[in-house]
Amino acid sequence: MNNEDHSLRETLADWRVAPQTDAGFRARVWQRIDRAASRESWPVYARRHATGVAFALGLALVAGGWFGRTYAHQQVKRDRDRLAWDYLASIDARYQADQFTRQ
Amino acid sequence: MRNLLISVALVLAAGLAASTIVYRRCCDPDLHQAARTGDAEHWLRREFHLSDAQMAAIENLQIDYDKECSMHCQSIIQANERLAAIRRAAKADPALLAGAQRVLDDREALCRDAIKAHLRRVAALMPPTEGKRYLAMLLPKVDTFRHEGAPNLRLDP
Repeated sequence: MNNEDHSLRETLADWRVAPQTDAGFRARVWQRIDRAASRESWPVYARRHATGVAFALGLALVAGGWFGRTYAHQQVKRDRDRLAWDYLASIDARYQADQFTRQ
Repeated sequence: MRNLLISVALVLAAGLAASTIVYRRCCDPDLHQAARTGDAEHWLRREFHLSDAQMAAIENLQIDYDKECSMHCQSIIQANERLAAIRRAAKADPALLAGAQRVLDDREALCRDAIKAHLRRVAALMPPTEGKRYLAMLLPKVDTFRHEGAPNLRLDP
């Protein structure tokens, strides 16, 4: 047993690895990392980019809410303007005479 | 790339959802429907918080006023037609033209006064604060009437 260990140690001590230089090694490693990253599920991706995703979602919610509110208020104002105009036009003989003349 | 696209889609969907929800909360479907159908009476009742009795009284006033309004309308049409006829004449007499214009202006001034008087009568049937608001909103618009187009009825000051 001791002889075998000794022999193995000697063999390992004499063993020299002389790998050939591989210029594309680093690039291939990164390609594999990228491939692995592209296969990750969205929840994992979202967790990895939690700050960015949360910021974008928050911004979208605020911007969407602001747009919806502004559009609704403009719509209400347009409707009120139009109804006030309809009302005044219905009691304004000058407007009615104008409409008649233009026909 | 796929996850980035999913993220962008989710962000857009969230924005759209927020926009829709807030729009629905802030819009006024009842008012919008009234504007689409031109239901000015509905607007009047809602805008100035009128009761059924007040609205009925205003409608009665409106019926009486309609007769007066028709008379003014006819007289303005006649004055308009006379003015147009004089203008069409090859050699329009300036004095005649000025006279016809004066008649039209006078009739329009009468009409304007009648509208204002009617608005004041309607306002008197409303709760005092609403009546004041009604007059403040509509009286200035009567004066800004222009024949070249519809009067500017924007409610902003």
